[in-house]
Amino acid sequence: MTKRSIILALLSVLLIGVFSACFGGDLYNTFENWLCAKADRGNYLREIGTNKDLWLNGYLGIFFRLKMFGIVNWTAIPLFFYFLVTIKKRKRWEIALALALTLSCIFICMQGYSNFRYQLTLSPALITIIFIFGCQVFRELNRNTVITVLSICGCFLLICSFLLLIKFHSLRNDYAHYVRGNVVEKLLRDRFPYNLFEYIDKNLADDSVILARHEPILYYHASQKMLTHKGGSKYILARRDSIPGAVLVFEDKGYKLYKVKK
Amino acid sequence: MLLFFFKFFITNIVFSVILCSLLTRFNENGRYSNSELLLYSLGIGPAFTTFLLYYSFFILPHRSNIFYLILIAAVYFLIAVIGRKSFKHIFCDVKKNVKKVFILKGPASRKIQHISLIIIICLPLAVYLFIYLTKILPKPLIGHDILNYGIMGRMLFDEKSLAPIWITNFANTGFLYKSLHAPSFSLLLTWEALINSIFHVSSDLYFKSIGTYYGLLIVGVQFYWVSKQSKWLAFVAVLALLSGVAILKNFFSPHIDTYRIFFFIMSLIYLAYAVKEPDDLSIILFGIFSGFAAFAHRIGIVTTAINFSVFIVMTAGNFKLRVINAFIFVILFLVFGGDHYIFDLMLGQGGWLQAK
Repeated sequence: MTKRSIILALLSVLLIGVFSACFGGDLYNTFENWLCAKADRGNYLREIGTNKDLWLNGYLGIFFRLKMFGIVNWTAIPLFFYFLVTIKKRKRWEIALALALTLSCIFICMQGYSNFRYQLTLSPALITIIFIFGCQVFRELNRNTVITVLSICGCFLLICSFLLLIKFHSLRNDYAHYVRGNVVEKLLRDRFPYNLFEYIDKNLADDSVILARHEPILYYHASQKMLTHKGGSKYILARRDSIPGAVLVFEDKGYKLYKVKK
Repeated sequence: MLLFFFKFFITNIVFSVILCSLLTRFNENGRYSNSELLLYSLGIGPAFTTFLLYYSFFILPHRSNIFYLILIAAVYFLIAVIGRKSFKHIFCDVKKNVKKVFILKGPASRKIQHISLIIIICLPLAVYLFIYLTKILPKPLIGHDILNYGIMGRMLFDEKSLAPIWITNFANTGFLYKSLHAPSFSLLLTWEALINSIFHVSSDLYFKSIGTYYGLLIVGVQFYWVSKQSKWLAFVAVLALLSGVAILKNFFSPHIDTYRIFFFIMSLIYLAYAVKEPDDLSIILFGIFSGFAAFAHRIGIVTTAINFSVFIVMTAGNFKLRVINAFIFVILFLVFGGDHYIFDLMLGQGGWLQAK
């Protein structure tokens, strides 16, 4: 190492230090403020209310929305970079598959960020490829590299576990889904509004018209009662919306039946 | 429940095996094993049935229920006659694979490993299926999207034509329909209603089971591919897939997701096959699966456009061959569902072009 390079290295360290001291804090604060700021999206879009959530659960949701898409999807990112670095070794069909999946990923994540169902399209294919290509990568790498990669992953997992333990208090509600088996309980619970149907049968005339606001349940299950998107009906069925100028007459499992005031 | 098993067996198993027998006729070079083709075909049966219903309602509307049932049965009978020589090969291959799974050879440690894997897979699957058939499936249909698909299926059954798709506002019912997606999924309920009409019953059990059935098929395809590396790794991959609530939901509440995702996955698989070596069967299945992907959901049009572009750019071979393959692909894509979106622009409201 020459004297000149040592001086350059010291100067760089000094500059970085000064930069971190002067601007780093501000930069971090600005970044944190940006992360926590409300994203300019409608309230009904779930779990993407702030900029951080919009990116992690929205645009990059397929990789980082762990609750929805499982715990391995993020590994597609390092594997993709490895694929790019070693692209000369790859066969034509492998490149075609990677290209098609990447383009689909970009399109679906950008257009379908608001609804996890769109991003779910990619999940099974992505996980399958992660496992198949992951195996291939481990075979390609030599033993020392594998040990290094595994050590780095191990350290990363340890750090993550440590950070999660610190944040456990705020995250416990998320993990409660798994720990208490709430997921299965939630999926199995009965959500059908039997009482609402009974109420309509007993209390509404056969020729009553109910205006359904984005709720097709009556149309599918009730053969007698009609519903319409046109005006003129005395009753309105809704779930998310509250109806101004109407009285709530019955509610069951989130379904609300309103009567329009005359 | 008996009628449900009948509908399930006929549509998902019998029809799929018949279609598989036809596909094996094209598998002259033996590139694909019969078991692999059968696994993929298990997803084609229901979709192909809706495809037949779609064209029947389009070309021959307003006929009786029995007319459509006989027409579809006749088409499958014809396909079965063409592929009759392949049935034996398919069954032999399946028998061989079943034997391979359950009759064990090799050292004791390997046998124990194998038995443990079978138990670990089969036990939770059996428990799930028991809970599914007794507790989940009989529940009434619920959920915004699935109910809308269901309503469209009923309207198609009542009309026996595609008019409810093209006409946006039904004056009689006031039901407002926005034609975003092709009606493949809805037509499964129409198909079920057609069978119900012979037995004079009203049931939507088959329609409700589709999400779970295709979910299991997706898991099966994933297991098949990852198990080429290791069977245990394949098991871990399945667990990784099911660790997300999004896919798990589809095993508990009916939805279109797994139905459309299956065809997306299959079109990706056949894109890889077609680029690797563009033989007849890979091009045909690439086109059919892409068509069905679009026939299930409008996302399928975009993914097909992407896959097609990649196919054109990445296929080896001379220009003429590429053009011929591309032409075959486009025709098949249009015939097997892509054309719905053109018809919708001409006859309907072209709702699929609008952003949601």
